[in-house]
Amino acid sequence: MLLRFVKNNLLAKPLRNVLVVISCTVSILLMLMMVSVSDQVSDQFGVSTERYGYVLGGNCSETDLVLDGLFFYDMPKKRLPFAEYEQIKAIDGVKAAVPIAMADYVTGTNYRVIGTDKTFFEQDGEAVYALEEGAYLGDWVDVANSANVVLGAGVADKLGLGVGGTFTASHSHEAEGEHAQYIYHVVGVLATTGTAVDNAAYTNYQAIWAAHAHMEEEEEEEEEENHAEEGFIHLVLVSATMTGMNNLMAAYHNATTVTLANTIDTLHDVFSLFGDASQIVLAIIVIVIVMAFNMLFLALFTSAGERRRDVAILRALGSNRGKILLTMLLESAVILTVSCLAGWLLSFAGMAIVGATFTGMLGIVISPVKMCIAELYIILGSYAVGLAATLIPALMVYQTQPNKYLR
Amino acid sequence: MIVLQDIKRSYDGRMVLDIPYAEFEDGKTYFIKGESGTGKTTTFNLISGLALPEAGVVQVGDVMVQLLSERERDLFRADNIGYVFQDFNLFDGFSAMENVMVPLTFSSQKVRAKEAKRRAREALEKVGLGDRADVKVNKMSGGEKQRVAIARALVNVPKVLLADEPTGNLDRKNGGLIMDLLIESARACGATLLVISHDISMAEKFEETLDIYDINRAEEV
Repeated sequence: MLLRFVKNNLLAKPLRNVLVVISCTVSILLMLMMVSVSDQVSDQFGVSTERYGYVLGGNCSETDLVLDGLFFYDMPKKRLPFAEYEQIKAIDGVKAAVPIAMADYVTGTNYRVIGTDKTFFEQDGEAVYALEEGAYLGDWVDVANSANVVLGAGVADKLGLGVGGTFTASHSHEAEGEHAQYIYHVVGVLATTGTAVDNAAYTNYQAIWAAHAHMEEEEEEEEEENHAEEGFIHLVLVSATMTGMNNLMAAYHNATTVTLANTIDTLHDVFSLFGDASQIVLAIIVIVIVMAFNMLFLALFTSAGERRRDVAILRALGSNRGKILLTMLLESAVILTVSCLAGWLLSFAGMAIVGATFTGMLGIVISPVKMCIAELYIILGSYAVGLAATLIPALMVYQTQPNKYLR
Repeated sequence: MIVLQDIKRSYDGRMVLDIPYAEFEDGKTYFIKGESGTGKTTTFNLISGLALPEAGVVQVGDVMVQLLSERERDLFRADNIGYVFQDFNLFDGFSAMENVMVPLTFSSQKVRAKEAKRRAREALEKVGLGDRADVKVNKMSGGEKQRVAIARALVNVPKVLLADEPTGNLDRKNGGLIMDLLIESARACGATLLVISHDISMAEKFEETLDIYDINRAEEV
């Protein structure tokens, strides 16, 4: 019966209640998206820097190098001579040096074909990334017009490719057919990592050279500005012991033709920039939330005159103060539940849009459906703030002397 | 029997009620006349337990109202008092049926929704609004609204029915009909009916007419 009364009371003031729900929904949506993006980005930064302490590349900014190396954000503007790769591998204390060469996209898509070697997948006999099916990339086998490839889970899923599937590559996601004669054969598919690794295809770096050499044969006269030089890679992901780190620093401290970027330091700088922005955005959202709840408060407060009359009627009809308080809190709980549910559902759509932007901007994969504990805190916090915002005017109304408002 | 004895009540240091003794017999209908601000509404609030006297006894049946806790007074009011106001004081967004069901929501009787609906419909039929039960009260005329208010006051079968200027917002014809309905309804459920009104012409419908000055001796009133 009390719930029926609450339902009737909510339905009796549809416009006011819909406006309050919209305000709360927008606030909760923004908060949920903010904490989810922040959580996923910092999570990915953490995962990505866990394995590789350094990235070596041609002379460029450390930030570009790390974003390109760990998130395949863009193709580095400068190449790294292959000899540098051989050299860094030989430094004492370097546990793994993973070559990365970028050139092409899976034809008609935004997915990069990354040239690397088997150390990308396995190091010291242990798998770096789990396999969903098939096998890891093996040693380079020079076969005419084709190469083996391992797909990231996202690429396999989006293109419907599995072991045994084939595709060709192009220079850009808009172009088609530059390497139409060069076929990539899928030999393995990685399990989902939730990182940029999911959104690329991996082949031997020699295959990148071969594909471009093949194209040169077909287009002898055409100048190949970016790719035709055999023996290039773009960067090297480096894992090292403490000794190795010291040796790396010593070796590249005064380097002028190459850049050695410390991934943790670089991402810390990036993240602190992002973090500062995040703090500002968070502050804005907190203000929005405060304003929204202020609106909720004001909505209840400004209607207090009407509520006082309602409460006075209820008291004249025999309702006790506890029940009246409960009625008002239940009404707010319903409004908050609808707002939280709507905000939570809309956050999936919001995260899909934001995720696409982040992938395009930073190469970071943002999952629309991944939840984090902070989201639960946001929901609980919203309830706490919302109910507190109700409690204050409710307690004021609770003090109502009925005879003042009844005629 | 309702008994008010040695009642003192003041507001902001001004004595508004000084009732040495007054009694109202069970099942009888009373018309109380008097000007505004003479303590009529305060008297009703004391009887219903909405307000407490600073001194004196308010007895309704066997219950000493002034001795009850606030919660007990709320329950006492829910179970024993029916209130009708000049401004109807209905919930505007609710239907007639939903308005009449409200007192049952807060009654000490554990009334299930189905039973509450049946009783509300019955009360509405008694006031001639059986066919308007699902209409929102903000779409009703003043006379209909007051009928809904009477149905709401009757739904818990109260021992006392208090009506404070129930015809104040109605035309003469509707006012007369509402007074008749109140008297008829109170008699039907055996309730004591106390009506405050400026409209002296209605007094003849009641078994007893009182002037508030006969009850209230407060000099400043």
